[in-house]
Amino acid sequence: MNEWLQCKLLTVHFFRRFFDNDLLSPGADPHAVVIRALATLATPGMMIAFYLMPRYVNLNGAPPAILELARRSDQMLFMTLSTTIMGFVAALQWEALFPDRADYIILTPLPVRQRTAFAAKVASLIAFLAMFTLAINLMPSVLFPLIAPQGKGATMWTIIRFALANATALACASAFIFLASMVIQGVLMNGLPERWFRIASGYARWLLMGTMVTFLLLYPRATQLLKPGQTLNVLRWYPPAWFVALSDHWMGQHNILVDQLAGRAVQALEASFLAAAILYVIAYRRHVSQSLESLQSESQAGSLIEWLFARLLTSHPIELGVSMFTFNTLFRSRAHKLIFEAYMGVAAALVVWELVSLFARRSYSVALQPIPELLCIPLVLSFILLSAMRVVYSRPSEVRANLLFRVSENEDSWRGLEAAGRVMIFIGIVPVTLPLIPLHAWLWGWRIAAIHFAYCVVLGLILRGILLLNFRKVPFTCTMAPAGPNGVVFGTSYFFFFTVYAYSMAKLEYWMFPDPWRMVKIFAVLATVLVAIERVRGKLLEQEHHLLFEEDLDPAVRTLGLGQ
Amino acid sequence: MLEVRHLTKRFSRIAAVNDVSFVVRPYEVLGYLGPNGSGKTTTVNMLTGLLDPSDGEIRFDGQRLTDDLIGYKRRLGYVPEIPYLYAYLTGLEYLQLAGRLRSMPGRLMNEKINSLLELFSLHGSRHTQLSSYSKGMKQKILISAAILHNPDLLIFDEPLSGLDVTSALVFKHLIKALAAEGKCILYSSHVLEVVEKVCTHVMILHKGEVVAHDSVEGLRTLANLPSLEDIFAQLVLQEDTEQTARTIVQVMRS
Repeated sequence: MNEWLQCKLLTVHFFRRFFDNDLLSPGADPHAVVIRALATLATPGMMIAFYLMPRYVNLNGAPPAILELARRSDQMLFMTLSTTIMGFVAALQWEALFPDRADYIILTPLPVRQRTAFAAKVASLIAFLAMFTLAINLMPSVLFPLIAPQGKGATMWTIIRFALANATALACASAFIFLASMVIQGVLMNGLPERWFRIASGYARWLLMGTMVTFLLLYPRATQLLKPGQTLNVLRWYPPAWFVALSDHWMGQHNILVDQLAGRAVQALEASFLAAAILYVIAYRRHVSQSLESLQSESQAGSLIEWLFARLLTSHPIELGVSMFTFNTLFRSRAHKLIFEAYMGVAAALVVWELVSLFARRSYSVALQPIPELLCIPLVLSFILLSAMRVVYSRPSEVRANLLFRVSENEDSWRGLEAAGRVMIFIGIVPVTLPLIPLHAWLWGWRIAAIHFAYCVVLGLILRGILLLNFRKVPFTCTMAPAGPNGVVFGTSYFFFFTVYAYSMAKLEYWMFPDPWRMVKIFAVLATVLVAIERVRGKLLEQEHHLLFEEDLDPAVRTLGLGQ
Repeated sequence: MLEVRHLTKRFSRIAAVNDVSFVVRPYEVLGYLGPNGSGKTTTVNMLTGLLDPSDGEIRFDGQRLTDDLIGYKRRLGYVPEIPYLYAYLTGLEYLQLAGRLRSMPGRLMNEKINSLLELFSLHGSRHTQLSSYSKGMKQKILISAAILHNPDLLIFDEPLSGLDVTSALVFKHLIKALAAEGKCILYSSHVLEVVEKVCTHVMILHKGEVVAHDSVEGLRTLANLPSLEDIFAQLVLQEDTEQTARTIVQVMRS
């Protein structure tokens, strides 16, 4: 076969493989997955553009300085959104940047030259990057220049010029983040043995996603700093600002800050492109041999965890078995690990943001007081980790392998639910509260540290109880209905509960500290709530103690059921 | 004793298994034969409680499956046709999970697992993730998981798939030894030579219906044919297999 034709076919194949992803499409139609993914990515830009429209109508006639401030702030928002989304896409596709073992096993016996496969993979990567850049940035590129006025005397040419500059800058920002993630992967892949690379990859993805969330959180502050007369300061580390400045530079706006940031954008893009290209070529060669030669995936780390679980959590065989299975799936199954890493990234970013914004406003000595900004940290972490665990518990892993659980079901199988709950304590509550005790004791004294620990643990247990109230599955073993919860409703309620749990409860804790009676009352209320939730859980379990292995699917055709 | 009475399973009104009845007594090995799509796996799925029958009933030691499914599962060992496993678990972790889900005490379970891993030559790979195992190694893990808890009823669905010659020989002896222990064994397979050697009784299924059910010897006498393969060919095969092979070669050449 003609090498060119082979390359074309392989490009299509590799492109499709980006979406043959157990996180995106467990068994779904790949076309539908592509369309859904692109639509999902295009939606935020479009929604925000429409949301901003009335604001610019209200600003009609406002002084040019105010208009300029608003336009720049919104441009920064779109730029931040574009980089953040692309960062998450890059983390999601981390393992798809190179052909995987299945690809090599299928392609190696075929008469396909390695250079053809390489060219096809690179072409598919470019196509993927182009398509996602377009999906993320199309709406802001088209709508934003139309709604954001360019000031008095702006001609059609000014609007078109702004549209072009803005669209190019957005595309460059997206490309930079994607290329930067390729550079990180290339450095790790070339610099570490395969086993360490796999371990480091998890941390790198986590860091990448955490950084992206930090960009979002930093956005309001960055907007304030991107003004004429300001110095480089924190913006030197804030890529969205570089690309806003690049757009300004192309629009003919020149001041020291804009020129410096625009220069940084160009340098960053060039450097990341060059480094990504070089590292990719070197890493590709290494990856081919590693993928074909490294057949063994050894894992002995489980023994220590097993010992800990058996000593600390349970000695019942079913609980121990399900605990170990839960732990292993959480940290070894690719899709589950990735979701969990994304949540951890968000948690880390929120904590960093909380601390940075606190110490930016006040001196370090403020840490000697148990103030709500510090008290909320374990609560932020436990809320995000516990809810992440509940989310991943519902996602099946190798769903047909649940046969093992189904054929060995017995009257004690409900203990699997208990195990799922205990692992939540082990991962979502203990690591974010216990290690902080010495630090809190050093800062605030043992009494406050102990009370704070108890408060966070009780709240964590309440949250865990609520999250598991209706949960009747061994984690990862039940099929999942294709239609998930309504995104807007879910997002709004998640945000509401998060705010109440993490911030309002931290304020409540701060309020109770000076008065021992308040403390007793609040702990009594919390303990009552906890007992009540556990009782309700127990009653629900008594009523229906069979485990669920198949989610009820929506019928293809809904009827009124009149014949029943 | 496993009793299957008038078992029927319909999918959208089409019967995949139609009015199948048989009994497997202790010390017996019933070979369950049939071409692809004959309903073997559907029957096995009903026998393991994974599918509900449309009609008929299954009893084990006189008790209906539906009356005490949990009690039945406790006494069941099953090797599925396709090795669906949690690829990120190691061989040892998978067997420990299987043992724990059956509430086996820790020390006994670990001793048994270690012995089985040694006997199946998997001890050296016990810390290797199942994703790196060959098909035969996965099959050995599934067989170990099925017998770990000393079940009374064993259902093997194509258990030799991927096993090397030595392991296959061990497995054939294992079946006989298990039967000698008084276990009820249902052995579903395409490999007629093995069925002929290890099974006491044979049942042949075709398009969901039983076309023959007797002891291997009884079938030979009845059909007046020397081997199970000939009996199977006479009852089930409706094509000239040699001609089909020749046609395949012709297509390949063209």
